[in-house]
Amino acid sequence: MRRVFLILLFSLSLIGTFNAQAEILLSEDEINQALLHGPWPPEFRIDPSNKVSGNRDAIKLGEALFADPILSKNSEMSCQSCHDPATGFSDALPRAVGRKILDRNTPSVMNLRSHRWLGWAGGSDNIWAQSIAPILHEDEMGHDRDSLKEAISASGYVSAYDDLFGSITQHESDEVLVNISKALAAYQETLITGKTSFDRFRNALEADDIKAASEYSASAQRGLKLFIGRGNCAFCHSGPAFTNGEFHDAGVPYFITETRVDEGRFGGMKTLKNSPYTLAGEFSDDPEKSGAWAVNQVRFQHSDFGTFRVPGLRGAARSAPYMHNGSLSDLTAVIDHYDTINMERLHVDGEAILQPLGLTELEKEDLVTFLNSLSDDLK
Amino acid sequence: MSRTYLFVTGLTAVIFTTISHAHACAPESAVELDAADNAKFRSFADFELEAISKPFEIDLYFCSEHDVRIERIKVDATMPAHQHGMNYTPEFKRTDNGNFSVSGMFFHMPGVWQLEVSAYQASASVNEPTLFKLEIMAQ
Repeated sequence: MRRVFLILLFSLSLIGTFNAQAEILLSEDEINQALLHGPWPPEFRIDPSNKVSGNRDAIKLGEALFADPILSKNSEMSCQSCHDPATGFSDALPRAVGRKILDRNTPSVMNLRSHRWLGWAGGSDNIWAQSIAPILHEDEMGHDRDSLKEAISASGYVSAYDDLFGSITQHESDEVLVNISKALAAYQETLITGKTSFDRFRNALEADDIKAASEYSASAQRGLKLFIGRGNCAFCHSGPAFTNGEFHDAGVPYFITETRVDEGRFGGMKTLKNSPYTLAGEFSDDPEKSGAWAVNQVRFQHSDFGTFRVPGLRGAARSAPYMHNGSLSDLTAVIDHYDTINMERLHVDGEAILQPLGLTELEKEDLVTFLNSLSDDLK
Repeated sequence: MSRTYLFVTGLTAVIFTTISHAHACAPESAVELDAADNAKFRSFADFELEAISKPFEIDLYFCSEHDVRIERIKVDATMPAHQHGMNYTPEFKRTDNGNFSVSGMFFHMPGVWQLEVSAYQASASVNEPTLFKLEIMAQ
């Protein structure tokens, strides 16, 4: 009787193994491509350009400042007014609202350390510089350097500032601006999306744990196959953060009004090259200027016009609407956009990879399932 | 024209090539570039492409049985199927042994890239560069 039981058990285990293996829909080549989208989360590394990167007190100060309207001149908005944790550190609006409706969608501030360039147009090459931009922009928080120093000096933050950076009374206004932004950056560096069901699938594949990998739904796997295959998505949404960090024309109109155009990366390059706050500049705390190669060697190109940074897709399901102008309301709309992309909208000298995909309704659903599996880390 | 692919899988670059071994002037790990028909010397490239969208360096070697001195080079790479090049301008410096180290190479998309090297000889009588190419598959 015991022998019969063991044979039965062995048979059941074989069936279980067969079923598990049958549920992995990816080919060997597709598995290798899937492995390139991890591991995640990345190991935390101190930003050498920011002397308070990783500093617990700076993170605490940055977090408090992030939520405090003191960083706007009229004390009416904080960073969090647009970068709301409840909506993926974005604002759920098509276009950001500062002192007026701005030109672009609010990008999430999650996973910023994965980006070489910050903002839709890449006007900054580091997080603290990108934090400066909205503080000084007249249509956003509207401070100038002197008003910011006055506000911090008169606030309860002055002791934390002094402990981290030295006496604020000894600092020029520009230095205060940079230091405040470095505290904000120290906090934002900690905003990293967690491990998702895709990561568990990817790690199980890496470990040859077929049973664990088979827990990833068939729909998500089919979506992944489309993502790295016929959809050509992974050409730009590559690597562990699902972005190559560069700029592309995705066929989204760049006219803001009939008479006004968003230059995209072209304008971002001008901002970058005129900025004193780059990794090559004097405000970087890195004596090696180790990240400066990018700003020093990046090319001005005519084809930059109307291109925008490829967003990472981790946590993207929480930060609708999408694209630089927030014109696509949800992930289905994004897939529909690429499925029926208007070739006449693309640069004539642009990418030769975007073309209408002709997806079925089931394929679209599979892609949405896969994209959602990059954002289920909070469940 | 021979075709050389560099396949990148994870952190390891694996070279599949049918071309000749490196000349004695270049390390064994270097691969030979395709030379223009009028080339009087050979060129080899030694590099490790860790991953897409990460900068990498290339060491370029120029080899000849004759006394050839390369004064300067131009290096670039394009992605012919996508009709674009790199978003960064590579920089080079001459190494102690008369060869070149190129930094700021950056492939931001997977697929076939074509490395293009123009080598200018020191000889005043030669104004035209010698052209070399290498196709690299980045994944």
